[in-house]
Amino acid sequence: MTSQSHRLKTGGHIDRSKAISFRFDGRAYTGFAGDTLASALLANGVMLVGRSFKYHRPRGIFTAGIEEPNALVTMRSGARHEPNLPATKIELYDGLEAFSQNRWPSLKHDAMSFVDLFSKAFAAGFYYKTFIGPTQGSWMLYEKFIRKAAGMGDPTTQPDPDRYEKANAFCDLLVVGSGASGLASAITAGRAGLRVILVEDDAVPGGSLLAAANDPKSAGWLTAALAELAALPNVKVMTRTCAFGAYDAMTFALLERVSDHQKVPAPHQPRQRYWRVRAERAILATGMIERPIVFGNNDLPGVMLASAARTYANRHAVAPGKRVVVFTNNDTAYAAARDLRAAGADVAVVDARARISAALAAQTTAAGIAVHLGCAVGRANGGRHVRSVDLVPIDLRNPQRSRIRQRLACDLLAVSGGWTPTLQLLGQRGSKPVYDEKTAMLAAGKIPEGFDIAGGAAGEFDLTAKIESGVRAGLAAAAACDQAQAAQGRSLLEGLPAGTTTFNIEPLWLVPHPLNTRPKKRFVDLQHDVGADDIELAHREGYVSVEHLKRYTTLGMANDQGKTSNLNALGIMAGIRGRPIGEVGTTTFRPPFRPVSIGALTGPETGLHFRPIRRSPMHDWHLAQGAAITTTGLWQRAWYFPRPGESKSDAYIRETAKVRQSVGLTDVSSLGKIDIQGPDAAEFLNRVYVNGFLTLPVGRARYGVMLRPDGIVMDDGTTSRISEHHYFMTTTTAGAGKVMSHLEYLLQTAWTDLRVHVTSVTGQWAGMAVAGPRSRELLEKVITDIDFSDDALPFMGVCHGHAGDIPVRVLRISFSGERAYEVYAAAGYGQELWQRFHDQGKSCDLVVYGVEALGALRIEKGHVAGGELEGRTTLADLGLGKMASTRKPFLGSALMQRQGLTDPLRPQLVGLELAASEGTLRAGAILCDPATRYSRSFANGSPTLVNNASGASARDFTPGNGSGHMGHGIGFVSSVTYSPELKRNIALGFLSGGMARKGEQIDAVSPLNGELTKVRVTSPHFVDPEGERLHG
Amino acid sequence: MADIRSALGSVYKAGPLGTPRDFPGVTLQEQSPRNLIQLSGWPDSFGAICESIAARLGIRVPVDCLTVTTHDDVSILRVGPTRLWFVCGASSARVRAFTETLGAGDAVTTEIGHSRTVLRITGSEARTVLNRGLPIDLDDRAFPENVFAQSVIHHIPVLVHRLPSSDGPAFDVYVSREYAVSFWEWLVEAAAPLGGRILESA
Amino acid sequence: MLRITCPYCGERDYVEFGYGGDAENTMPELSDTDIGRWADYVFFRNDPKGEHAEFWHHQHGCRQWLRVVRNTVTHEVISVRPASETDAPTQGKQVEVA
Repeated sequence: MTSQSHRLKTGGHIDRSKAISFRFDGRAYTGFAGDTLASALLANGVMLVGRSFKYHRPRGIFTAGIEEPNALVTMRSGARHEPNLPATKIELYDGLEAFSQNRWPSLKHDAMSFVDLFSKAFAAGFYYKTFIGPTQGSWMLYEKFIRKAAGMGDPTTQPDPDRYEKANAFCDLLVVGSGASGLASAITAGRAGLRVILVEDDAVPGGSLLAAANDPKSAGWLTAALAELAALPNVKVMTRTCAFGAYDAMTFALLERVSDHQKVPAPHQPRQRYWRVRAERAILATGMIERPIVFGNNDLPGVMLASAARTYANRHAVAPGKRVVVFTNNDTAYAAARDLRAAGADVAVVDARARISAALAAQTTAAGIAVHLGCAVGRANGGRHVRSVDLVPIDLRNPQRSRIRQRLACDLLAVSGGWTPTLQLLGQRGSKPVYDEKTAMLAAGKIPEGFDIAGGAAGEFDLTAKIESGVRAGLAAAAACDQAQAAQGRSLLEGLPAGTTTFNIEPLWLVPHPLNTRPKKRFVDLQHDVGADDIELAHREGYVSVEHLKRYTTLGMANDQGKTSNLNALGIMAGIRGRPIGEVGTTTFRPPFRPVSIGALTGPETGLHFRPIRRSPMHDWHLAQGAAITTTGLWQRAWYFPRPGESKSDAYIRETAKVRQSVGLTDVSSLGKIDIQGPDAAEFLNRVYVNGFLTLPVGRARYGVMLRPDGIVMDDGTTSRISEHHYFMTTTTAGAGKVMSHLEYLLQTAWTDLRVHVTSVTGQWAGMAVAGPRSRELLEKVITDIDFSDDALPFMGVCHGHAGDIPVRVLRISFSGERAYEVYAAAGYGQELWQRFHDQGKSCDLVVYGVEALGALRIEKGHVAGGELEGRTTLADLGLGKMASTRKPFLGSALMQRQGLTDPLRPQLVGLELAASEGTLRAGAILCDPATRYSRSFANGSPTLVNNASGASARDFTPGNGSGHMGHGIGFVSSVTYSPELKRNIALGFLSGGMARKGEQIDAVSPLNGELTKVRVTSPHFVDPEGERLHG
Repeated sequence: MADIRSALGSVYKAGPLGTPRDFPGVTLQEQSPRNLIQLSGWPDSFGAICESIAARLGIRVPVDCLTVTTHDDVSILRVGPTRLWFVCGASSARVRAFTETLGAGDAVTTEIGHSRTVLRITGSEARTVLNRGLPIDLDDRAFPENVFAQSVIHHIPVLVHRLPSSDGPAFDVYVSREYAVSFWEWLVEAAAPLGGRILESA
Repeated sequence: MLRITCPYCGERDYVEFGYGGDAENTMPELSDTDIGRWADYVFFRNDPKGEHAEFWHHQHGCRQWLRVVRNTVTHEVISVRPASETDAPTQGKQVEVA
């Protein structure tokens, strides 16, 4: 372990009694509780922490916060390995393991750093220019190499072992940021009785107060404020929580890093929690972020923001340098200079302004700090660390290239080019910031309804001004929430001296290259390696709009989203164009404000909870019997019931055959079931279904098809009349939700005159079908109070009775074509009733069958289902044209007659079977006319397709397909099965010309499988076309 | 009568849940099957129906779709503008006797008791666990006792009823039966970090 | 992340609602056999920049269809009323339904 060579002896918000060991690139170090990874590395004198994205230049720690562009590291290992995390935001914990990125074989000796020498070739627009035209093909060749060279950390490929949570919260006021103004807002609103949520991205509240020199007055203020907040039960303080999105209707997205500061989450605890907060009001007390000035070699390790250097010294008790140059164009950096001096460093200030106030000059000189006025840092010098800076004289009214005047040795260059209020959340709501010339800031524009800003976000620098603005915003929020009760409590300004903080900025974006030197790279966006030259290039090539500039150079598009670079880019572009910055415009802010892991957004909805599952009342029985399960929408259904050693096709073929031979039992609980009642129920059904329902007698059921208003088939099912004004509708499993909403829509929007109520009773009823020649025999054993004779319960009859003590509803309907019944019982009795059928079925040679056999049975009968009711087919396409009543209008009856739907060439339902003994039938295969098939010809030297019939030729653009067919074909295969009854593969499909082509041989082409299968067109009614078995 | 089989079947196991704590954060308990009778009327005559409910059953029908009114063991939830749920215990016969007097022109009724699984969630963290999925403000001011909301948790439709309780917040959650296992699995996982226990089914 | 104030249930999150499309066209009478009028109803839509009436279904709430006037630029919900009503919008206020 190394000693903490740069740790200060005293001060800071760290706990020296709690030493923490960690590893960076495999080497062991120690830090203290209260450190970030960045501060702990600095404490150990580690400044080089990564290589840059594009040019592999050495990079150090540049900031002390969320805006960090350079110090991205990979954390943890194995399945928890996570790349691209800013070291400035990682709390130190015992056993922490971090790795630098984008370097090989090591950080100090990176094989790819030669890229820097060829940087001109990789300027903005590199891809667009290099890989278009004749060189396009070379992209394939170089992509792998380029992707590897340019990039960041690698993600893990293992599943994430951690839990993530989602949560909802509600409040009157959301305060974002817990600096002085945020605390003042929360206390003020909390005193007035508002429900307040205060979120702080940092581990501890305090904001920039934590970075201030240890002044008893402000420290005391913070302690008192936190104590008062803790005592307010209506204020919830959330630390380690970032408000990253502001959405419609005052909805906010927060990311709470519950366990990121621990090695692994505690048992049951999530790693992160994604909050959705609905607030009446929001106060953004989000502070401001410092920006650098751009000069040659400004990316060297050892160059950092002045505010960051100050934070490390004051908050973390780390001296980030021993010989410090502070380069500034404003007063705020002088506080950093003084605090670094107080921490024991030699400090010089290089100020681009020609003059500063006498008070500031006196205070600085008194602290033993030399000030170089009217100077800029022309360039920094050093290899892997800054060793010196070259000063050039500068006139801020007209910056020109000039000779180097002086060289200052240093190991830290602290830069301040001004400040940018953090207004991204306002920007996400469409409020564009406005450039303020006086403060050289992008300040808040029109503040959206419900929002307010306070403190640094509102451009305040001074502590008392920040607190006053927080109090004002808190009172305004209370008034807006009708909580104008006098805020009780001491004045929040009590005991604080009047503010003296000054700013006095004179903008400087880019320092010209010193004369008589080789120009060094000047980086604007450190993370994406975008330099001032790239902006000049973009301008030369016409990308002058900021939105174009951003996309052409990728400036501001890295995961720091240009927090330290955007305004400098605007300033530089404005300078090139000779326009005021306000006219150049700004880019659009969109969520998220910081990177958010997909895991957090997904929350618990993975694996078992990927989506909810709907289960039949008999589901447990199926599982106990070893059923294979298939998914239909959200439903899990029994697919087939394999016996030991049986494959899927063994099982379903056995089940299918047995149903036709004796009797089968299958679960149809997933069918949509809708209770329809009211005096106008018959009229309603008559309007919804294509066939007549007015004449359906009580105790009878009818198959019905409903259309969408556009004339396409929506769904089908059976509806039975239970009593005069009471109907029981079934829908397909997949169509249930859609049909239910559709019926409600019609009743509530178009046909409000109908007195009808619809209720989904899908979950209320268990449903089971008993099918096969011996079905009646089985029913008679189980249900003893119903007369199952054909006279008493004919086909399509409905009746009620009991299976012992279980009330049942019995419909004599058939999907399989056999004599069959559907039996419904209240869901809680479903499994018991099923068991009784199963027990009694032993003497009837009963087979339990699943969805696959159900499908085989209905395909044999040519009954349509999901594969056919697929949202494009008409009644006529399905061969059901005759069902449509001509005596009444029904929904869809007008538009089903439109030209496109009555075209005789539309594909219509047909049966298909293999023409030869060999071949594969696949659902989804395209049906093609053999007469239009092309053959490959090499007659004229290049592969050409020649139409077999016409002799026309076409360029062969279908390599690997080989079917010789092109275009959309003349239809498609919708459902396939093996028919045990026919002992061959059969299919349903749609074919242009339909049954007129019966007997023809056509091609079924499956381009994905490279297959062409000869099929013969047949009737879709493969088995028992006369329907005699229904009565068997 | 055959027993009504719980939709939770074998996934329901009483016992401690998740992180051990001094006081269980969340207590979960499946409730016995409810008699749930839905009555639906039409705007022009619904007022009269409500009056006869008050007269015949002694329960005032709530004026909004948020409040629950209760008398003896019958509660009324107005789940739609002209739609009521009667949630009843032994008095279901009285309610059925009443609904049978109504003609289809006045109102229609549907039995839906088997379609819902009812779970009771109590404990100091009951709100926390519900809000892991429920986008409804459960604060005392916004969601006092005897208020209910129909909403969605983890894509599953739910009805959440805040019960009168002298012992911290208590909620009954009505979940569609076919989703009950999925909801339960979600609930148990959401509750585990808060600690608690699962009681034997009521 | 819209919030819609259901006239029956109060202000609710968008996850409870299903979008039901344009509410500015009226379905023709069923007895109307004119394909043109039906085609107008089904296929022809205004796509205004600004206020637009649309149907939303309070699917996971009271199952009522609502006519929501929403600004397509700002997403502001201007009014919500039951789809079955044709009188003045309720301006997002809770209404008694007794």
